[in-house]
Amino acid sequence: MTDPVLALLVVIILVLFVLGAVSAALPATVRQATGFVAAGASGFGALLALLSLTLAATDATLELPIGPPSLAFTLACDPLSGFFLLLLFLTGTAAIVFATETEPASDPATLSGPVICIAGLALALLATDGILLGLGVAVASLALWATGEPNRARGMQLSIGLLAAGAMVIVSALGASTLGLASLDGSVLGLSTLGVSTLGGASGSGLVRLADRSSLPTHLAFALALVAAGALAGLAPLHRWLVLAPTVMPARAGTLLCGAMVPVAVYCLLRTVASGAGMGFAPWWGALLMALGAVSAVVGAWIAAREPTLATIPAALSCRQTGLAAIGIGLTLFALATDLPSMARLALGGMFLAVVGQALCVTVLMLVSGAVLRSAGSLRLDRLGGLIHRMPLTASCVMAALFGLVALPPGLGFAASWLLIQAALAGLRSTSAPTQILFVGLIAGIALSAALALAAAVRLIGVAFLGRPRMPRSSVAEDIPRPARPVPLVLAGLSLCVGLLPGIALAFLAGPAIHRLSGGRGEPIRASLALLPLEGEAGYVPLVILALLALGAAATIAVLRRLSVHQRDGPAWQDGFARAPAWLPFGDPLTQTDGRGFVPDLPSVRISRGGRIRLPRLAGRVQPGRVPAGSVPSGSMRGRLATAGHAVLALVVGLLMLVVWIEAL
Amino acid sequence: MILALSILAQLVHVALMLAAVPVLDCGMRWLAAWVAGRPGPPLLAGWWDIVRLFRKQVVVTEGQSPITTAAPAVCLALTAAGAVLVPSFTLGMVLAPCADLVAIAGLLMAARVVMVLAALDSGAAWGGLAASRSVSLTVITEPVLLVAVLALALAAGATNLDTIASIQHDDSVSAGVVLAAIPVIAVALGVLALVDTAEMPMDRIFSGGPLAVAKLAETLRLLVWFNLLGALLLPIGMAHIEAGLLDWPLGLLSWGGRTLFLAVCVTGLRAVGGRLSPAQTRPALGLALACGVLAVVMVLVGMAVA
Repeated sequence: MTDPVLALLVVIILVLFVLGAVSAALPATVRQATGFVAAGASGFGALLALLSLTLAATDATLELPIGPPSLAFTLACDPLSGFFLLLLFLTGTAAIVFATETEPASDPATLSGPVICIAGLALALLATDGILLGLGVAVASLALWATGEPNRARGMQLSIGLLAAGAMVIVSALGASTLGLASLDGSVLGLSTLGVSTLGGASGSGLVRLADRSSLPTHLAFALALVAAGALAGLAPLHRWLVLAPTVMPARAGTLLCGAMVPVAVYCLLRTVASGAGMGFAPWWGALLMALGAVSAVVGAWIAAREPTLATIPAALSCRQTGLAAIGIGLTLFALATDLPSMARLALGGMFLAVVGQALCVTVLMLVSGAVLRSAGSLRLDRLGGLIHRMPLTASCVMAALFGLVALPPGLGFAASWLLIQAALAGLRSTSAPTQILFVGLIAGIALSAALALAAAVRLIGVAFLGRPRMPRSSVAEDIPRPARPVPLVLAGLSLCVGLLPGIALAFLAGPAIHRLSGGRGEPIRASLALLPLEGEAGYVPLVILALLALGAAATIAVLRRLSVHQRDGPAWQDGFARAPAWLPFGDPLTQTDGRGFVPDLPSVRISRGGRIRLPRLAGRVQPGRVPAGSVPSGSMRGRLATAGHAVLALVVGLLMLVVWIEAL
Repeated sequence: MILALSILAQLVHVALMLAAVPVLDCGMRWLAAWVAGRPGPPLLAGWWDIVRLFRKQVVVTEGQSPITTAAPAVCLALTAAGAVLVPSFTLGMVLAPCADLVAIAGLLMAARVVMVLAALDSGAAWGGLAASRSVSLTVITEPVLLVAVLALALAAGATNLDTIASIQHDDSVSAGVVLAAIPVIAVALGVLALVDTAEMPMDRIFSGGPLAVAKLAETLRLLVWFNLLGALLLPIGMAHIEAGLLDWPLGLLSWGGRTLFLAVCVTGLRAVGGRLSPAQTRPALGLALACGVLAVVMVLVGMAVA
């Protein structure tokens, strides 16, 4: 069956490829027009994706007349790829419009890289086999690699993109051979059996053979796909490149890397896992993903709270969103393996909201970082400051975007974290002792990650946008050019809307995908104003919280306006110190914090030049036989508290061992 | 009928909170003075303070951004939203289905963040110090809080405050399990309440009416913590909306008693040990975390055995 929407999507991908290829050769006057055509095509793609999400009852497939003889390529659009296509085209349109409006048209590399990257990623999202998916990811990686100066981090990015592409191809081959599913019947794609089987070019839920479910090659293929997609998405041990990459590429490429390519990598992860769930994998795969996700959520947020520049902080926050999404995927896998479809729905809801936050909010932050670099001359937090006075619109967009990433009600990030916590609570109540410890750690990890992300957001806003300017350049910065202003405003506004109506957004955009991924049983997802937990009717209602906040704030402001006596301006209180001398027009820069003391350094294992491994030094560790300067006197309040804490900790460890022993009996 | 009662209960609750905040502030100052052997301020002095501050001229810092201008109102609104959701004298108020524990923790944290941003906006050295201290505490406080209430949420099967408070009333198995863990959770939440209500130097940022609003928000935060501790750990005598109006006097009485008891406890702790210094805070939070984990383990073991 050929679907008109799918055919149009393919045409758009072709148009984008052609535009990207020819735009570098065009004269500068035509190039801006090319940018608008590309943006129009991408925006039309977003509309089509939305159409396919809301209208299409069945999945559309389209057989391409190219490919190996008995194995023609097939494209398909199901609810899952439709959701990710919508996000991809949305961020892609934003990046192209913003680049066309703000960057000089004389630079031939302005457009071709981003446009080809979007086309490649769209191809990957429509692919039904690993070869096409790998091809799309590889083209996108190459296109991003070609923009920007040569550097180690960029080389790493290319190699990781190619590794992911190669792995997808290998997995498809492995999947085809181990499962014996080389046939291409083009029937309706059952999402729960997609993934390795469909990546291998097969579909149809009845074809998966029970005997092959837990064979070693299948596990190996799954592990390989996990490593590749995880590396591309910036999942925990392989996250460092993603944080560094935006420093060596222009903002438009960084935007596409963190806001478009990383969500597609999450999509690859999800496809792989969907296959695992369809094949009845053991729950420990879910536990592994949960642990990796929790580590990356914490580490990403921690790095974001320490990074010095406006470009690397959003990248690290993108790693955190990947971690949250991985937690959601792991919880889903666990829920499906233990037959808890309603828990899987909660987890998938949290995952989809985390991905929406990644696509919308990280994109806004990366776009804005480019604007700040152009206008204030630096990306380093300790060279900016006071930008809210010169760039009010930029500052409000940054605040809205960060509000969508941190876990504060009634924002998008809070809704995602809330759903994940509820799913983890449901998991905690349904398992036995050793696994329960994992879930307690998971909930603590989500909370720690949220708090660290909050610290990162406060630091970014407080140091770069509030306070006094630190350099003359930032005191004359200018806001985003007028024609480009709607782009971050629309994206930030969308993220606020999704945060306020998470139930409705999930039902419309991801409802069918969640329904199928969670086993396809039960009622379809219904739109509602509230997010509901597993049991009971009481949940989280963002609109009620917003109404309470609006009422409270309006009443307070009215009282303040009515009753306040007139105002007088005065200098900030500087603890009685004299005003700074005339040659320091913005005051003494050393008296203003640069946000370094907010969060301590991330403890890390370092390997020194001699090959010796240096373990992280934990704060407060006392050397034997030596009393350090800041030691605890034994009789003090702090000493007593510390002793009590140690005693309780020992008790907890003992009890945990007891629980494990009781369970083992 | 029940709907009308629940709306009425919500309104009474809001009025009670509004009336109690200045009195609580002054009452605790009076208690502290009484412990130290000094004559304290009269109980209504809190209201007079607010009137006095509103009569003063407002001094605006040169070069402050709209963040600082909006901060007191937004901070009070965030804290007040938390206060509206946490039950005081009765369960089953009309907004009870929205009273999610995680959301209330988020609201309290958002209120703190607004004040931190205002401190950073001043561009002064003390503002940076206060902000960095507050943020580094928040980073530890949130996970500890979530682990500490996890034991209760685990037994109730939900993070809703009303559900958690009402399981302690029925005589089911989970009620027994929770009752055993309550002293441990009380230690954890008590430490958290002490750490979380540490004051920021408001009078350096604001003056006049905005200062009054900021101080009101600070005291309301303490009251929210008192109500939270009461609803989670001591919901004795709390009325139920189904039981009708007759239970309300007892509920109001028990709420007054609980608040008085907690105020005496906090004042006594502060009088004996002084306020928690930054150096004492981290071990204290470590103790709270250990207690929270212990409570979770106790509930898990209790549920496994039962």
